[in-house]
Amino acid sequence: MVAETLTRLRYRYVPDHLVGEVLGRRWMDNVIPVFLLVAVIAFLTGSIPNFLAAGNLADTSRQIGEFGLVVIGMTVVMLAGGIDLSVGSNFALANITALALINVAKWSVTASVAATLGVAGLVGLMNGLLIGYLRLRAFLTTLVTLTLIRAIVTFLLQQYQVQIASSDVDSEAWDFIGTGSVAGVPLSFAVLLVTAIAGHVILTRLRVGWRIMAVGGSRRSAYNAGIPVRRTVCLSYVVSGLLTGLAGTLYAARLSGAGPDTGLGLELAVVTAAVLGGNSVGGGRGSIGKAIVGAVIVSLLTNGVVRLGLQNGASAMVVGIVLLLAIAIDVRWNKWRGKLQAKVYVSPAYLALPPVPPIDSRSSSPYAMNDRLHDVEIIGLGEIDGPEDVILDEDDNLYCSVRQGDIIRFLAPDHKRREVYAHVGGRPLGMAFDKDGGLVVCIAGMGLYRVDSSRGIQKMTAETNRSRFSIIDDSRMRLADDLDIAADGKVYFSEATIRYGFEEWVVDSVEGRGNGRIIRYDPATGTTRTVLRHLLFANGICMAHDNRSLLFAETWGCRVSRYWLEGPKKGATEIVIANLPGYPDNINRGSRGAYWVALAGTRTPTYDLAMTMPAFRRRMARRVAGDEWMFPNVNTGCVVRFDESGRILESLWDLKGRNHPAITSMREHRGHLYLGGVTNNRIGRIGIPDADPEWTGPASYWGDRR
Amino acid sequence: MNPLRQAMDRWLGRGEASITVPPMDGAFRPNDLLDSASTILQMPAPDCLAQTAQGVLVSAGRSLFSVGNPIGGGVWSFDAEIAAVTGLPDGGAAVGLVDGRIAFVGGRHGGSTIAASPEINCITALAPARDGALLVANGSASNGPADWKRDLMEKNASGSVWRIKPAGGSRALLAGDLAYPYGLLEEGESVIVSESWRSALTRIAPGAASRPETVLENLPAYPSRLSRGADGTIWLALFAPRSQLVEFILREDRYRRGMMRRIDPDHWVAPCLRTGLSPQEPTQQGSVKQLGVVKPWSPSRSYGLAACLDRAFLPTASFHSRANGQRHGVTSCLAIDGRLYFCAKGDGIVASLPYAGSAP
Repeated sequence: MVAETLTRLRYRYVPDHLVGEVLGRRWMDNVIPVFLLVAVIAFLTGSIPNFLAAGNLADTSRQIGEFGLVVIGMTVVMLAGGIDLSVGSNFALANITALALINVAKWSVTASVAATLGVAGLVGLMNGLLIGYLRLRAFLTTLVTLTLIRAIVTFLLQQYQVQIASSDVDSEAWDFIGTGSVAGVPLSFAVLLVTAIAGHVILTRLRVGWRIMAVGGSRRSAYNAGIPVRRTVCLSYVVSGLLTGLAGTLYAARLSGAGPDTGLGLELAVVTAAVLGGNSVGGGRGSIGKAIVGAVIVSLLTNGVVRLGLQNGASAMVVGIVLLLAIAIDVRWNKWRGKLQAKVYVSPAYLALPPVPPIDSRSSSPYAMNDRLHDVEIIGLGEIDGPEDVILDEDDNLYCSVRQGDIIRFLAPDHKRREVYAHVGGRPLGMAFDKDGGLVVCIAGMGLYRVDSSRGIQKMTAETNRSRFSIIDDSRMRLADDLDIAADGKVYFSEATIRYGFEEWVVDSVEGRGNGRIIRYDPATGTTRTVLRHLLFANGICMAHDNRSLLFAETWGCRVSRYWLEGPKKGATEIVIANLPGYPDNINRGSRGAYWVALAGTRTPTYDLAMTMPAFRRRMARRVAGDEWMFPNVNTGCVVRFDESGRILESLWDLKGRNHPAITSMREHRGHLYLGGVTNNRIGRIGIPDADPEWTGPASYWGDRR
Repeated sequence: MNPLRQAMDRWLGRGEASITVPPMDGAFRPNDLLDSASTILQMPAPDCLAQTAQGVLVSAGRSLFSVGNPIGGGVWSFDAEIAAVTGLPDGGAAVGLVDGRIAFVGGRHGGSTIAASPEINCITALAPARDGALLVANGSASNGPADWKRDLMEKNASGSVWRIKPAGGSRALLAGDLAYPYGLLEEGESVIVSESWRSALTRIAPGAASRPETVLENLPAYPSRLSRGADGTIWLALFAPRSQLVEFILREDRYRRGMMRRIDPDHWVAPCLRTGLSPQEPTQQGSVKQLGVVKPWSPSRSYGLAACLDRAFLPTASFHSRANGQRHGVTSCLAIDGRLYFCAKGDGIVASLPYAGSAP
């Protein structure tokens, strides 16, 4: 027992499930680069005296500013799926252009800077035209540009190097660009910051940025989605050219010198920085933030190597080794992270269910097994795939939600004729009629939708308030399950789990954690709010007959609870049926003040035992193939009738599971019960002798309000 | 074995801790032949077939029935349940009872009984030896034949094989420490034993010095009784399939102990002769009914399987009743005149089918 208590506490307070969730977040890509950055700074601070001194920092930050601009440009190109090797030469070209215009041609600063940017941008445009429009290989094309531009730079150097060196510029603006500061921040670093922020906003918030990411992520899909792929690719090279030009100008103003080694090998350092920061070589994955982190690491490293007094060439060697490492990590990271996440995402919790009531057919229990569902009348056999929920309107037409994303309607009076009432997409589950005869539907993967009486489909809500400390984004609805509508029109609906989609709902059973919730949508104000959290697979929802509270089922908890909407207990939750012998699904109203709850499956002693052993289930999830997993017995189900106090009135079983192995929904209508099952291919109809033969759901909800 | 390696294996699910199960492939490729067989008898839990001068007999409960003459009712009845039966060369039969006694009917020793002995309390199979002696398989030292699930879940290997003289009842131990011997066949000087919990056939050679030798292993199901047809083919009944989940449970000591302590054996996660009798039985994800149908390939704790082996004890053909079939839990099979007789204990059926064309 002590061990049991320890297990319970351990799984209550250690949030295992967060590991998998953290690994699933995109910002996890930044962890290694940031860690590396901290390590590099710590190492250099420790081994170089005065490394963090103000003077050194100012100097370093100017270099970082210039270098970072080029890295941002490279990142943009890489995000779009390319690579720009010409940045080194382009940088040198910008440098000599700026110097020649200022020093020799004596142009004004504004004109010179503009012309320099133009020249560099033109180089980028040339790359862009060749790669984007003529679709040449980015690597070879920019390698050629690199050589060509370097040749031009060499030519220009021969022409102007002496003149540049011998002349002097007397311009405060030019000096400011080279050595000035804005609010204590060196100008080039300030330019980098502004560019970075602007770049981040553009990439993550604006259309053109999304397009760049999309093209890099999948060129063909982007093309199919109507994105102008060629123009976008071309644009990325122009951006790279312009930013390189800007960096070259800043460099020219700072050092006022042109030599054959300006920008030599820069492309390698830039690619290293971009990849090291965590930007994918393949494109589509990365950010400006990553570029900056990478740029800072590489700058500090190359700087540090020089200051450590290592031999000439050591700097290039360090950069090379780091690049190799970065590419290796880039390639392995995605695979490794995906694998690890798949392994650790399923994180079972401790769940001890109350003792199961007897179901033996010879017992006097209200749950005693019988074969009352054996003689159901079958509707639509083989014509429907998975009617999770069934509902009837006032004219006796029968609706069901099926796997193909349709709402199927069987027409009264005999339910022999069938039509697609509406194609809503997704996986429609729970349904309810509102006051105006509109059919409100919970759709897994989409949210809450409404089909009005003229079959128009409107989205009601697909987003709720995000909880403060959740790691996964729980504002989107992944598995809206069942709903009911209060007298004031507010829609209460359940989301079974926030950690899995509909296709993986079974995995949630292995977890047995309170991953579900109940959400309220108010059509009057259009607001959506989460009302209850941490429910064990929140499933059926049903307004009480007096509309003062709602009943909800927690499938893995095998219980039905009541949530008070008004009265003295407003906001409180109390358990109505604590220990069902099976796994409850939908709850619906019945006649004479009763309710129906569907049990999708029966509790098994072996599974109940497993629920108290989370580590056992975790190992099972990792080692045993999914098809072989132990699972709640959903091959035998039943429907249970209970009253307002939670007293069980009767239960109807299909012992052999011939027609209704798993029952997920049932509706009472004019003295009959209609049954649906999420994995079934039929709807069942059976007479209920003591039911009110006039009672219908729509009348019960809206009869006196219409 | 290195304890560190063991701990590592357990943590990573490798080596000893791996739960790989051989696939039903090669000679074990699934078919529906057992389901296509024609039913001869329907009775509760027919267990063991034997060929005698009275024709083919089948044991069920406390009685032996004649398979060829179903109207006749019980041919012989006993005061205890029958655990195993075998035909003898003289046309009689030896009947092992659950309390350890061995009774002879018909033939030379007809009417005599060998008293129970403390060492033999779980008779699972009998077979005649050439010298007139009787080979007896004792499944477990601690559990009776009805508790075979517990024996598996306790991971016992306490079974033994004995040679008993029908006259006088003197006995000699041929081999011990066997993992539930459930089938016997004399092969020249040695004895072939099917060890259920090792999913293997083992050869016990004469002379106590030689260690048992494995002749066939990695069977995809738990083997049961062995028999030899007139044409020399060897037939093996396999009573339940192996599954990843059960292999996993066998490696989870804490869960398994809790299960054995608290839960009715009918509801254990363990192989069985027939699944789906109670909604409280464990289910597996892949066996959820889809559109009202149990898929034949879905994981199941019961299965119908009989295999034909060649003279080297290598499987050459197999006869199946898959997850959705109705001939599960085959505990015994015999080949007579080109027909394979088998009893599906789980489904209470004795049936036969011609095997020419399906097996060499």
